[in-house]
Amino acid sequence: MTVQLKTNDLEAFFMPFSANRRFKSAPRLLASAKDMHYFTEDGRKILDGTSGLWCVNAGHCRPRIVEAIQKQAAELDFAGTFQMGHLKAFEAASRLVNIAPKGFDHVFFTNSGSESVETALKMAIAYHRAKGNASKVRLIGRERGYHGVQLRRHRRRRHRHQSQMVRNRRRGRRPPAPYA
Amino acid sequence: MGMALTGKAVPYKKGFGPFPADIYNVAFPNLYHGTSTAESLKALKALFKYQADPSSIAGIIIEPVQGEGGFNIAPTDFLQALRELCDEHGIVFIADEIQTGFARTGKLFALEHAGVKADVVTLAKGLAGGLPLSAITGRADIMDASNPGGLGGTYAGNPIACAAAHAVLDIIEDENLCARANAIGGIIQTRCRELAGRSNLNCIGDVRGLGAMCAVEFVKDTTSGEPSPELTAQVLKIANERGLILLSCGTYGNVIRFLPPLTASDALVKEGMDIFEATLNEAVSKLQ
Repeated sequence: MTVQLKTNDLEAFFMPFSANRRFKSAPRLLASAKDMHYFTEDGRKILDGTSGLWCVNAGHCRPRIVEAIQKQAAELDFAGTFQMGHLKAFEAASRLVNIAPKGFDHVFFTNSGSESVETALKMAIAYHRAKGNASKVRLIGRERGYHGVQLRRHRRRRHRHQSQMVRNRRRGRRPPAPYA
Repeated sequence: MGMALTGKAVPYKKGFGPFPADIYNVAFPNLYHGTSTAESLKALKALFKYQADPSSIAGIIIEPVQGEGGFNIAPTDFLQALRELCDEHGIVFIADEIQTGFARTGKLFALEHAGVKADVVTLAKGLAGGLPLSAITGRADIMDASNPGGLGGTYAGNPIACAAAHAVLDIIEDENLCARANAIGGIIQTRCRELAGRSNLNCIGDVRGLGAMCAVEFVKDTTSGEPSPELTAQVLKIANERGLILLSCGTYGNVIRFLPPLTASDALVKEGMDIFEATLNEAVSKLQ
């Protein structure tokens, strides 16, 4: 069922990195794109000086890219890559390794830059631990740097309440709702 | 950890936290704001001496051109010195090329400009034309060290995004988008420098860029160099009304960034810059 969107139906979507209330009081909605331009719902043509948050370096709605997506969606829409695979992922990884600096042998895919950063940091820590340097865990960034929105906290000790629950379980005491 | 390493408190960190410990942010070279390579390296060595012995550092992550931070370009001598420090202390050098990658700066990857190689590189944005595909690539001995099955994600390497990535990489190659990025950047920077020299526009503090990743920093006047987020906000608003989408960045919200698609023709880039010029003239007169 298609939902007819009226201006006052904008409430449901919590927009990222946006002043939601201000936007929804005077929304700017894009309807389509072609090459270097966006087009609004009322047909206004706007030059995209940001390459779609710089994701669209090759231009909007390029026929080659559109056809590649359409062909793939009709052939194999989704397959996980846990203990099974599909050739497109292997081919894409090979292409990246071929254009990456010499000596870069692997590619690990994620879904966002934030996840790439988080995983790269985990890899650095795991690498040092595997080499016997478990104390090498600190990380350095730069003032004014931006590396995404992942918030992973180190927990050195279990929360006291959780520790008590574990002790109770061992003594045969049933945990209260809502934990039961 | 990524958010903790982000060196811009508002809006990204305000109201969130606490953040993990053992994460540090050090000064980035910024000649316009008076931080040299030497000072930046001195700050890093001071960190090693006073806060965290280098034997305890797992990794250093850096953007070759800071995006949100204001399109600040890491100098070649700084990157080379960082590489040497990482080699000396066994620290993993992570290059965050999420914004700079895939021809945006005139090379496939921005670090190539400095002739420096990272140990691990993070990639995203331009990889699959807007479909959600991001990546890490690096030395096998680093990437293989994680526990088997310890890293993953359901949508990782999904076929449709990979198909899009192939088509994007074909276009980057066939249409020589690295060379295009340099040509586009030349048009933008030439125009911005010409505007900066006009007596009625005493508001452009700096023009900088690498390939087609260009920026203009707005100030209240070029003598004081005091940031002007007010002018920046006006420019964004008026540009949109005149039919051009731009974005701001920078610690003080006073930097406008130019990131046109790399397949834009010279004529279209010039059209965009004409709109920017008219926008700037209108914004300046409104604020007077």
